Amino acid sequence: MPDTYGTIVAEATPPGRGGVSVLRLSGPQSGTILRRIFSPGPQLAPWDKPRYLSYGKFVDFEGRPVDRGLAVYFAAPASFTGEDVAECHLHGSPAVIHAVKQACVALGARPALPGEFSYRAVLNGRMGVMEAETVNEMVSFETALQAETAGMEAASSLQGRLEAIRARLQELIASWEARLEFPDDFSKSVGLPEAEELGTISVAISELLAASAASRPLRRGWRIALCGAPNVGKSSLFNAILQRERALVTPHPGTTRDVLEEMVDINGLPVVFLDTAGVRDSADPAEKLGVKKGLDAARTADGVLLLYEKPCGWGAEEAALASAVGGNVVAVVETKSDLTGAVAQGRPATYPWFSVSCITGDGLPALVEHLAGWAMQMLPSNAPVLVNERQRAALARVSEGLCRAEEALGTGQTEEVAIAGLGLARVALDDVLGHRDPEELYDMIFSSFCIGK
Amino acid sequence: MRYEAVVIGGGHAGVEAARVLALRGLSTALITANRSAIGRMSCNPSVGGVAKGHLVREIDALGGFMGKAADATGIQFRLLNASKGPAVQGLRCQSDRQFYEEWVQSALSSLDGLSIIDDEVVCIGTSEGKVTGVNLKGSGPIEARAVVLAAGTFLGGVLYVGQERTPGGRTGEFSAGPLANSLKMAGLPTMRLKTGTPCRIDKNSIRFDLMERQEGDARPEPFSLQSSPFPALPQVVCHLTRTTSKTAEIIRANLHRSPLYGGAIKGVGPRYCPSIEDKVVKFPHHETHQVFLEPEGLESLAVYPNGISTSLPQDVQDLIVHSIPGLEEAKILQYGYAVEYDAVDPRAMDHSLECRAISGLYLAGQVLGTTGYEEAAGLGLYAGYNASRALRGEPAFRPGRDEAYLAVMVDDLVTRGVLEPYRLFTSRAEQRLLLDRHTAYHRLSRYGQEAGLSSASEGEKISAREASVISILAFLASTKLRPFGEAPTLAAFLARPEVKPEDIAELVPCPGFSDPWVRLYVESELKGAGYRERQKIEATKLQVSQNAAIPPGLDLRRLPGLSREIIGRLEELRPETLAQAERIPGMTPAALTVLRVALARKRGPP
Repeated sequence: MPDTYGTIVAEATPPGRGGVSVLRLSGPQSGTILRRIFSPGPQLAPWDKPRYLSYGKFVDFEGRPVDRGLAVYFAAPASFTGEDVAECHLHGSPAVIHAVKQACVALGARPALPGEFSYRAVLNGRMGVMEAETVNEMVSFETALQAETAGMEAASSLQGRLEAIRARLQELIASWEARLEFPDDFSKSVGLPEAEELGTISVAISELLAASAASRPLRRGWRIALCGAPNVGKSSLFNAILQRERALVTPHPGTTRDVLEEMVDINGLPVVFLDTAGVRDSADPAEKLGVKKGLDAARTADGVLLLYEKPCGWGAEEAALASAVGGNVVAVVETKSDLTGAVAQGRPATYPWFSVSCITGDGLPALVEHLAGWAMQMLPSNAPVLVNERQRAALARVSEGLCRAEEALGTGQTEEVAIAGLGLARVALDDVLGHRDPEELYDMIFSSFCIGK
Repeated sequence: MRYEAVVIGGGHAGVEAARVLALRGLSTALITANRSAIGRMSCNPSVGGVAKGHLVREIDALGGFMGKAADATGIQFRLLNASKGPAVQGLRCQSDRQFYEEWVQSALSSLDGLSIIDDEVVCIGTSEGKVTGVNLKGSGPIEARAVVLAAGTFLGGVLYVGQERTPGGRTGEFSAGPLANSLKMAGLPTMRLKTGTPCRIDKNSIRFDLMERQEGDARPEPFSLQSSPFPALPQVVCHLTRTTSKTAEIIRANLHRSPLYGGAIKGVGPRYCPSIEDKVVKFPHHETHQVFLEPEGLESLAVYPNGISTSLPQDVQDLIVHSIPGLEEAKILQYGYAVEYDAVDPRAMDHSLECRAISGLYLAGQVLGTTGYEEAAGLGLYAGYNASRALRGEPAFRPGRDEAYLAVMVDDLVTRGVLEPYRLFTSRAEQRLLLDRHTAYHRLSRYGQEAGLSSASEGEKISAREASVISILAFLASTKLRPFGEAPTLAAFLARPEVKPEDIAELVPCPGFSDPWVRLYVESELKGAGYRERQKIEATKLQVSQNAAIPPGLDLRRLPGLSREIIGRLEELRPETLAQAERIPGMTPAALTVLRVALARKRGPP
């Protein structure tokens, strides 16, 4: 965990793009550093008039002018992070930004880690944990659909769904507690009409968990393994899809040993390609291990691209491999389609088939389009729900608490035992949502029920 | 005059405090303005209830005497929530008000080392942050190293009946004005709270034949393991009637004459004991409200109408009572009233109920922002015991929240403070299933023994019982319901919610099983055992993650990202652990993260 007291500096806008780049400082020295790197024009200096933009001159560490632009100062706690914050609006040239940033570092600031501004905002109570997680994920997401799904709107709708579940849970607890704590205020005939309500809440959480499991690839990408005999051109196809020389390619069979992974944005969907070792019996222990790793990766991947080369054709070994990887073959690819003279011997009827040349690029667009279609099909049918590991763990605890409550009632235990489970569920929800107020229960009881003799 | 300890007030908090101090061999003076009112039940003639019943049993386990007093003077016993598990079953009794206070007074008069002084305390003496004694109106100064303030509603007490406003802490009694001022001068933060009581009705003017009868339990359970014979007094019946739409009309038409709604009373009342005018205003869709008619005693003429507490003027009280079925001709013996009083912000105390700013000064009961006889008695015992430990140079008595409701209450009070008079609920405990009423002795009596508050014979009884419970549990776990074929063990059979110990009594040859206490304990051990086990695990987990100590020297101002407000609160309350910090109102998750990070950094990497 980074320190939480120093002054940090980083670009607040994506690097290298756009007409304007914003450099942000946060921490106790923000003001002093800004004074050294910015000289305002005739108007009030930003540190004298917080929250107002002022135009002036930026200088580097040695005082040489590097740019003209706008600066703004926010005094703690009224800022994004809750600390003193200074922002420099510079022209979007990497050289300018670099010079000013270096000046800040020379004056005592430390380059910020990814997500550190949000982290401080959370520490200082300026932002909920969930919001901050969203902000950070938005920054790190690579594809359009990921950003959209995990974006603010989705977080607030996930938050909204959880808040709604929590409210129902809290109402149920309050209604049971009221009867337990004030038995004389309720008529004897009160049974367990709310047991149904418990079931409804439980279903809502299960749905959320299921949707989040189905949406999981959205976060980490759909994983497609490239499999086949040695030297059929798996690494060549891998590089061709990536459009760069990521994997080593040689004419020698058995070059690839480790599993290589890269994410590619295919029509806005994140797809991770895994390049694996060619499958053959080998005496070399390293290669043997590589083959095993490759097969494991193929079995646990969401899909497999099965490759064979045109000259050899589709044979019994390929068919055996198809069943060895568990049948989740997305497509069979005939490689080296540019080779002529060789005899093509049949092709499998059961799988979508593509003929591709990594040298000429023939057939590649059709394959990529097929993969995009496949990934779209894999999208959860309901609105995707993205949760991170912390949230998933909390939801699992919510679900466990609800199960305990249902189990207690199912075995003839009374409400106070069920509430022990509901309490766990509520605490877990509160962890996600950032609530904590024991008095809330009593506020609810005394506003909903006429209590007291 | 000189005593080791002085207790101010003879209510339920004061008597427990004075008794424990005297029993612990410390010369103690109990100062009261009205000797004959010692141990008085100022409001309803009843002890116990859900959570409160648990508290009474904890008081008994620790060696206090409220449970014995209630058993000796109870005229109806009822187990609330009898169909639920032992964690939320609440023992409650109707008491003979007169006998109760006589019993308490006689128990105190037999104590060596306790002097009862009729006088009014005008100020508490302090010097350099330490208590030096008290000053009495009549007989001047008393020196003492410890003072327990249990002044109830008497500090700056004002009684309201309609527009009438008289100084007093209880009907017909005085108001401790000078003492209230002296506390304010000493810098103790105070607030105004409010409570109320209904009128009392002449038994002979009530048509009980028109009302629903409410009997006590046929085989009542006592609060105290020691009580014998039990029940000591003949048992009586209560009655139930309801207010009518006419009652509501009368109240609405006269609301402007209510000191509550007219704005005269500024103090905050407890939501769990609302006045009838509150109920009518806040729940207009409820056509009627229950009224329990509780006899005040075997020979008493008075009946307590539980449910119509009010501070409306006397003529309106007459109209209200007469609008209720069975009370058309009722004669009011004493009118209801509201009382507004000063309470000290409990956050000014530490976890031993000692004032943070004035060492040797302890507070307990309503003056500390609570409501209820049981809460008062528990706090009185706790404060008195801690005062005695401090006087004897022993470390403070501080059980954990998973150990006693008493600890839950103290921790809630001193870390969270109060917005209204505090009442204990079972739901205030994180691990309610571990705090059921049968286990109170096994949780707490060793403390009572250690303190010398409970007798050796009591201790033997408890150990003998514990031994039988263990051997019976072993027998039940190893014996099948039927000797042949597939059959559950007796333990599994008794664990079923519908099975009672009586059902298997014939199959259990162990001699201890005839003891009803043993039966209850065995039953509660078996029923929901799995769920209790889980709570135990959770309690341990909580302890590990939250008992991270906050070092007293931690410089909060150097921690980044704590707001001034939060630093202020933390400095004022000085939580000792992360868990305590977490319970402070207004703590944000972010501030807790900062603390957690700071503590982790102090400890270094794991």
